[in-house]
Amino acid sequence: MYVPSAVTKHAEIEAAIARAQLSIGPDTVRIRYEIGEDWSGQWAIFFRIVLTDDSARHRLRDVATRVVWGLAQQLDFPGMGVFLYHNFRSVSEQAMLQEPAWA
Amino acid sequence: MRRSISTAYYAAFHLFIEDFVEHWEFPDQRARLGRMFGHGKMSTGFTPKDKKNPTHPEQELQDVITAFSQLQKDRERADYDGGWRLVDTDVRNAIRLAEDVFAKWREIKAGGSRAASFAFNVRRKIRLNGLYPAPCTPGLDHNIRKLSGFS
Repeated sequence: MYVPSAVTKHAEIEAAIARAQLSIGPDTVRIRYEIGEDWSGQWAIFFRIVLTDDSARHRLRDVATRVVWGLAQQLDFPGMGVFLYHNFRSVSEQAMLQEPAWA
Repeated sequence: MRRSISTAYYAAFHLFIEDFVEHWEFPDQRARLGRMFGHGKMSTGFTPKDKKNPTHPEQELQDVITAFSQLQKDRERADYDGGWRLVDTDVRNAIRLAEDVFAKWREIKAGGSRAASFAFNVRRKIRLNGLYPAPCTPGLDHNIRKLSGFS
């Protein structure tokens, strides 16, 4: 069974996320991720990005673009055998849903 | 909210289909061709020549594919994952992605002579990789079905 190299590189990924967050700035509150297969069976890394309420509501286009670019700049994820997916929510939305995967 | 995400995805999906179908050389086959595109294969098939240093149009196309794939995944979840607890930001993000796909695809197509030449090559490349079916008269159904993932 094929397993992408990303599965064994959690430390590198965590470090890349930390660097990306620094470059993106305070609009991003935290970034979580998991690696798995997507709906089509392709290996992927699923980023869950919590944004400040203001950026999620008023500047999503700008901030989301910076997050996607920021993460892509830090690590060669396709080279690690995974496709990238990004989902966003605001602090308020997460406070309402209380989903552990986003905490 | 689920319907909004699904609609955003299908807007992008039909953008690509209509763009190809209107240039298909056999008018009587266009409608049938449009129904044969595979959702899965449409998100793959292009890699820049130099992955670490893509040209501007290559990067634009990569962005289109990335946005389209995200829309595709979100649409799958919106339509079939009853456990997905959607929030407003999910919907706004799907609309943003669809808008980006439209804007960048048009930019790629209408970017002057260099970009036009690039678009031709991209179309050929994508066609070879299954995003667009290859032109074929004999055995049209078999070849299109094979390339589009339609069975």
